[in-house]
Amino acid sequence: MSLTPTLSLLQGTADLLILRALQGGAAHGYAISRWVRERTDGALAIEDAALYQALHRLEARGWIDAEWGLSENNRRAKYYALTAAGRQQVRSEISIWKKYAAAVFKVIEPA
Amino acid sequence: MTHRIRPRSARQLFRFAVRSADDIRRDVDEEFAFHLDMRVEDLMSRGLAESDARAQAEREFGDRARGLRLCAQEGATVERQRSVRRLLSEARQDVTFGARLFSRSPTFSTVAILTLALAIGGNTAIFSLVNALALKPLPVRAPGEIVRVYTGESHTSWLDYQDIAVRSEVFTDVAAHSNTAHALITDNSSVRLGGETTSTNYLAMLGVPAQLGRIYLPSDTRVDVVVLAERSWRTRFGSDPSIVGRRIALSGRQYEILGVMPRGFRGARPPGFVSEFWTPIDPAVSGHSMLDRGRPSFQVVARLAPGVSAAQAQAATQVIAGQLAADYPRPGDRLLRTEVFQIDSVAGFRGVTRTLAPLFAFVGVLTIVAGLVLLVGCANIAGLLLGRGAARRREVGVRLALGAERGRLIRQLLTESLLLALVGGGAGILLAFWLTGSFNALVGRLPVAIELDLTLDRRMFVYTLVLSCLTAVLCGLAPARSATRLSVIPALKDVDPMPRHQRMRSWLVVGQVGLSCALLLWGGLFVRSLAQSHRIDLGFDPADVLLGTFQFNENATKSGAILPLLDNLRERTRGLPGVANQALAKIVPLAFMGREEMRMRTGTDPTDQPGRWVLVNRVGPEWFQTVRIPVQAGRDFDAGDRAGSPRVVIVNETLARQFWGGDALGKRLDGAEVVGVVRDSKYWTLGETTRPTVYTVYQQRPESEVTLFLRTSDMAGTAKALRAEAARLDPTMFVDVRPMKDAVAASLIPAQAGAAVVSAFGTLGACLAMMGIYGLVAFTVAQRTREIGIRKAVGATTRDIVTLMAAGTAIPVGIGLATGLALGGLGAMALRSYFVGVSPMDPLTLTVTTLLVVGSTVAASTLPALRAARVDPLKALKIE
Repeated sequence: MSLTPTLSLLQGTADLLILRALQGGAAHGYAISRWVRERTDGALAIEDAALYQALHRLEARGWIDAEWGLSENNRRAKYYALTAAGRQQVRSEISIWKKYAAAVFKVIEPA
Repeated sequence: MTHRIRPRSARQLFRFAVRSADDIRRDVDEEFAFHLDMRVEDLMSRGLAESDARAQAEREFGDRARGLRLCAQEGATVERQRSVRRLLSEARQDVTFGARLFSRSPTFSTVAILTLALAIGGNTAIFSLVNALALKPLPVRAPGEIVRVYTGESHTSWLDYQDIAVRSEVFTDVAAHSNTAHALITDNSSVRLGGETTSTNYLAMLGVPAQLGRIYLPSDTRVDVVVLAERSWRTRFGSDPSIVGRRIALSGRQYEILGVMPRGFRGARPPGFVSEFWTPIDPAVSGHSMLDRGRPSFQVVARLAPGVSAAQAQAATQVIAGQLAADYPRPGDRLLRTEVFQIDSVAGFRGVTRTLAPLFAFVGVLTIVAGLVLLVGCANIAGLLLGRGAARRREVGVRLALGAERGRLIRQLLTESLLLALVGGGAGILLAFWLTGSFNALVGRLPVAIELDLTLDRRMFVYTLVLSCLTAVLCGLAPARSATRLSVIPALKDVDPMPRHQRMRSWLVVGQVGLSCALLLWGGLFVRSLAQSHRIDLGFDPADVLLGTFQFNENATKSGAILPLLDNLRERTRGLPGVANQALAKIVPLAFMGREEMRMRTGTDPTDQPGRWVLVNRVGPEWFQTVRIPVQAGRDFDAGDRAGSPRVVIVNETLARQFWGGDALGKRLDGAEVVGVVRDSKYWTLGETTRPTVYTVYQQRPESEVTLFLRTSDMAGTAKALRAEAARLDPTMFVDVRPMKDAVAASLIPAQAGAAVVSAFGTLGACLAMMGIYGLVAFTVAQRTREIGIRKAVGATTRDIVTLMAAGTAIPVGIGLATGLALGGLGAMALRSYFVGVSPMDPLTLTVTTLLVVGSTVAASTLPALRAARVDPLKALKIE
C-alpha cells in the first residue's frame, strides 16, 4: 500500500467541499468524506475530525440541516442536507473560488 | 381510566425537548463511531486486514477527542437556536390564535380590555406623579453635578456666599438665588409674578440656553434685564416672538426682556415649583440685605468639579465655613453647620419636604388605592378567564388527548391573557394621558404656581409594560393552570362539574368585595370630610373681609419707605363707607400664599440653643379684631408698636401651652417680649393639627408683599374704593383685591381632589366587583342548568331556585365584607389626618358602604338567578 502525497487544505475549503458535496442531495458524514476522496482522487484529504467540525459549524450557521436516519446497512446515521440559505451560499462561494483561482492562474501562468 | 397530567413547577412551562450536553456528546460519538466502522468495512473490502484497516481509519480521522469536544460545542449552539426558533414560532401561533379567539367573542374582549385599561391607566397616571416628583432628572445640563450648599439652616448671606465662591476649589461654579415676586404692570392691569433673583452666573451654570434671545451672563453688568419663563411668555405675553428687547415694568422698575427659557426649565428648584422670571440680583433693589452677614437670604447652588463627590465638597465647604466663622464672628454658630447634597435625587427635596410632605403622602395613598383597583380588576379578568376556561374544556381536553404538553397549553393561555393585558395597557396609557391632563387643570386652580412635568416618557412606557405583563400573569396563571388541570376523558365527554373553578371563583369574590369595600369606605370618608369642611372652625372668620395684596420693591421695603405709604393708605381706607376694621398682615391664612417658619429661642440669651420651630405671621395693630381671632390674654398690638419701639410678639394658645405650660405673658422669644395670647386658628391646611404660632409686628420688620385686610359690609363698594385709593397714591402700585372667602377656598382643593379621586376609584372598584359577582352567579347557573331543570320538574318554585342560586354567593360576600370593613377601617386610621371633621370610624359612612356592597351584590346575583329560574325544565334536561 502506498501513501499518496496530499495537499493540505486552504482555510475555508472544507466548507466549500462539504456544501458542494451536499448539492447532490442529503448525505451522512462518511458519504461526504468518501465523495471528496473520490472526486479528488485522494489528492485533497480532509482529516475526518475536521470534516465533522465543519459539518457542525455549518449547521450552527444555518446553511445545512441535520436529521437522524437509517444508513444503507441499516445503522443509525446522521444525514445532512442543504438549507435554502446553504444553497445560496454554495453558489456564491463557488463563484468567488472561480474568480480567485483565475486571478492566481493569471499570476503564475502569464499568457 | 383518568390520566391526570400534573407537572411540578413553573419551569416546565418553558420546557422543551432540549437535549442535554451529554445527549449531544453521545450523538457526536455515535456519528464518529459510524464513520469509523464504515471506513473499516470499506478498507477491508479492498483486502486489508481488520486491524490494519482500523489503524488506517483512525489515522485518517485525526484527533477524535478534540473533534468530539468542538462538535459538541457547535451542537449546543444549534440546539439553542432551535429552541428559540420554536418558542418564537409557537408564540406567533399563540398570538394569532388568541387574537382570532378574542375577535370572535367581542363582548368578553371589550369588557376585559376596558377593565384592564381603567385599572392599568389609573396606575400609570399615579405613576406619572411619582415620576414627575421623584424620578425625572432636573432639566439642566449634567444634573448629577448640581449640588445645593446649605450653611446653617439653609440660606446664606450674600457676603458669605461670595467668600465661599472665591475660596472653594471643589466647585466649577457657585451661584446664589433667592425667591422674589414682582408686580407686572401692563397698560390695563397688574399681576403678581413669582420668580428668582440670582447671581449673574446662575443660568449659565445650569447650562440651559434660552429658547428665544439669550440668558444673562457673568460678563453682563446691566441688572435691569429679565429672562422670562416659557410659562409667563405664553400666558402673559401671548407667546410674542418679537418680545426680546421689549421693556416691561416690574414693581415699578423698568426691565429689558433678554430672553425666554425653554418649557419645563425651573432653575434649580424642586419639582412642582415654578419660576416665572429670572433677574440678576440688583444692589439697588436688594442692597440692604446684601451687606449684612447676619441676614442669610440667598440659597446657594454649585456645580461639582469633575471627580468631586458631594461628600468631599461638603468636607471642603465645612472648612471654609469654619474660617468664615472665625474671621467674622457672629452670634450663634449657625454658619458652622454646612451641608452639600445633590439636587437631582430624592435628597433634593431636603428643605422643602415640610411643604411637600402632604403631597407625597397623598401620592402614596393614591398609589395604594390604584394598586387595589388593579387587584380588583385582575380578580375580574381572572374570573372571566376561568369562565372561558370552563367553556374551552373540550378544546383543552382534545389537545391534551392528542399529546399536547400541559406547559405548552398553559403558555398558550398565558399568551392570550398577555395579549389582553397589552391591549388594555395601551388603552390605559391613553387614559393616563387624559387623566394627567385633568390633574394639571386641577392644579392650575391653585393660587400658587405649581407645575409638574407629567408628559409621558420612556420610564412610564416601561412601567406600563411591566405592569401589563404582571397583570397578565396575575390574572392569567391561575385560570390557565386550572383550565389545563383536568381529566381528559370526562373533559371530552363534557361532564366534569369542576368544583375547583367554583372554589377559586368564590375566593375571587371575597377579594373583590373586600377590596372594593375598603375603597368605597375611604371614598365615602373623603366625601364626608369634604361636606364637613364647610363647618370646620377655622379659628377666624373670613366672611365680610376684603383682601388687598400689595407688592413693593424690596429696597423701599427694607428701608422702611413703604411704611408712611401704608399708613397713608390705611388712613384713607379707614373712612370708607361700610369699613368696620382694617389691618395689615404678611400672610393670609389657608390661602397657600406664603408660609413662614423659623426657629425661635425661648431663653433670654440668644446663643444658648438652636431654638424651636414656630410658624410666623407678621401682623399690624387691629388684625386679630379684623379677622375675629379673640385675644385671650394680654393685649393686641397698637400704634405704639412700630419701627424702633421695643420688639414684642403675640403667641397662640398652643405655643403658650407647649413652651410655658400656658402662662406666656412677659416671657421672651428671640429676645422679644410676649405681650398677648390669642386663640388657635388654622394656618396652612384645614386638616392640620395646630402648631405653635408667633405673631410679630409687621411695622417692626416690613415685608415687600403685604395684605390689607378690610372688614366691610359693602364688599363691592370697598373693593372699588380700595383700587381707586391705591391708584391715587401710586399709579404703578400693584394691588390684588379679592374676598378672603375666595382665598380661603383654596384650602378645600386638596380635600376636593382627594374625595374626587378616591371615590372615583372606589366606585370603579365596586363596579368591577359587581361584575365579578354577576359573573360568578351566571357561571354557577350555567353549570347547574340540568340540576335546575330537575328541581323545577319536581316542583321547585322560581323563588326556591333564586334563593338557591343566590345563596351560594352569601358566604363569600359576607367574608369579603367583613375583611373589607376591617382593612378599610385600619387604612382609614392611617389616613386620619386627611379626614377633616370626620372620625375614621364614622358610623354613617360605614353603614352606607355596607348597604351599597350588600345591595349591589344582591342585585348582581339575583339577575342571573332569575334567569335560571325561568329555565324550561324540558329544555334543560335535553341539553347534552
